Amino acid sequence: MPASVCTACGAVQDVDPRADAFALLGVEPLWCLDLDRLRAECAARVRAVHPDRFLAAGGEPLRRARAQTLALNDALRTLTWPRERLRALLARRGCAERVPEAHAARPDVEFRLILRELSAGLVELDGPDAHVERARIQRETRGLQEALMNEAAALAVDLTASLTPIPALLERVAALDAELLEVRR
Amino acid sequence: MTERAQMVGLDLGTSGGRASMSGLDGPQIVVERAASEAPRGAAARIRDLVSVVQRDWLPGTPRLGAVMAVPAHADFTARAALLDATRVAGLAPARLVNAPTAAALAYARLQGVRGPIAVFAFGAETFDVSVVAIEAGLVEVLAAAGDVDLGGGGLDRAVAQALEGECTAPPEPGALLRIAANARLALGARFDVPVAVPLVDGRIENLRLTRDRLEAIAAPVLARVEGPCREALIEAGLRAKDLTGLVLVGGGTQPQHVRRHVGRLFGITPSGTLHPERVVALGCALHAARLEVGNVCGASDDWLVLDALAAPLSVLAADGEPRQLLPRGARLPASAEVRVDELLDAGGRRELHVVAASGRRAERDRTLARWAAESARLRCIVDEDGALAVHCVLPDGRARLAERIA
Repeated sequence: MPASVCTACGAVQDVDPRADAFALLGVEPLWCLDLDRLRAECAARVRAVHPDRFLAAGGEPLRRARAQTLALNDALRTLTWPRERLRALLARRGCAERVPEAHAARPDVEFRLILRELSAGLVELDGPDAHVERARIQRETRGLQEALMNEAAALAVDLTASLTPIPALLERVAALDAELLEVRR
Repeated sequence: MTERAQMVGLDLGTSGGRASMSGLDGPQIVVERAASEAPRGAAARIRDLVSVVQRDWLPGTPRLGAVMAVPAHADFTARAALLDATRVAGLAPARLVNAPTAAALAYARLQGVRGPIAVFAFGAETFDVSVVAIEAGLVEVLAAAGDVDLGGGGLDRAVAQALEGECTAPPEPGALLRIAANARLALGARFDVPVAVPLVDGRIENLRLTRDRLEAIAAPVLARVEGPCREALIEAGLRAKDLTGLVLVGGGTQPQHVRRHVGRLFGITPSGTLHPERVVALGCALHAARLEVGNVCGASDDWLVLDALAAPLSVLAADGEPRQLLPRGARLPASAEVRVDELLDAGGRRELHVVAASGRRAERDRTLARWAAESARLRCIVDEDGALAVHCVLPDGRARLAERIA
């Protein structure tokens, strides 16, 4: 049972103010996270403390349940947004303010739509000349994709090992952001 | 010790209101009121339904609570008004649940549906589409989208306008919409239907409406549902072929041409086992029964319902640009903090405009409310009902409710 619930009596506890997003969801503070497992873990923890379970009881148990569920959902959102996950990792080292708060930091729907259509197009290409077109699209995108993947992997290693000086790390994050924007154009 | 409240389900649809309860035989609708019979105002409609439940089904019950369905795109003001209406009607506790989510719960519990499904809710004047993941004991909304200006009423108006163009004299006021709605329904079973339009000069204009003509008239209106459907799928990270089911909700989905269009859009035959106008009320009854049970782990009806924000929550900065605080699809309850000084001009107004954006079109952002921004940080909390509260975070870390000024 998660720490948000008393193991002896099942009562919901107050949210631990010292717990960050990683601690709340019980995952290692790493850049690389399995997001599907994270969502499932969050749902399992929310199940024990969801306000629906305490609506009939009302009062203090309901207030605590709301606070716990809110904290878990906010932690999930933090860890699923790359920029916010980075802030959470840096906050552990006391330097979260180095990454500016960015509202609407998620890639927009239009961008994801283009990527999805491109990948769907690759799969669905048909006809005698399909292999030519498929190869052309792959050629155009592969180099960039590989570069971005390598960069992201290197960034993950740096973050996890905490070996790179922070300013250099931020410069690379900014460069990666710019490159993603370029892909979008 | 106060006695626990008996919980009922409520669905105040445009076409009528329904109260539902869950018993040993499963959920059932116990009161049904056509829109023409219902009193005006949400509180009066709730009281009207609840009084019949108390008289015929739960006599002598001291406390009654409710799970009430709302369109997924109901904004914060509408949700606050509905919660107020439940309080006025004497219901406590009250819980709001998005209509597509309630429908997904009904299909999960009553039909054993599992996997990611799309719920297409097309009411008289509402359109929501949700992508919902269902597994044993869990109904989770992955993404929601919609259009606040779309619904089956729009189709009726388009057909009525086309019929009016064919009349040799002005039609009787108010008659065409009803005729158009009936003709759309009748064309489900036939290829063409006779349409008798009463004219102001007392004559009857005898017209015919064919299925092909209806589809041509409806095409521009139905084309508008495609964008939100694609957006919901993308938000959920799924393709249409990943879906295991398609559920239709609302009276607007009853005509065959709408069902065919939606089926083609998702590449799935829509599920029609539960009545599209009743499924939401059944879902509310199931959820109400779950809330009545309270804190019991591992029970057969221990279903967790995780709803999501249907429209992004933003604040308007001094430059007039909305800054997003919570994205569409954020799991509820959710919160976000904002530094007021970053958003407001130093010498200007100390007001925070909270806006909900419909889609990506900035011109459709609507200011929902304004709060006095007294402290350096404001915390916006959207609770599990989808209702919004704004708190001032004081320098010592304590928070208190911000004053709503409009």
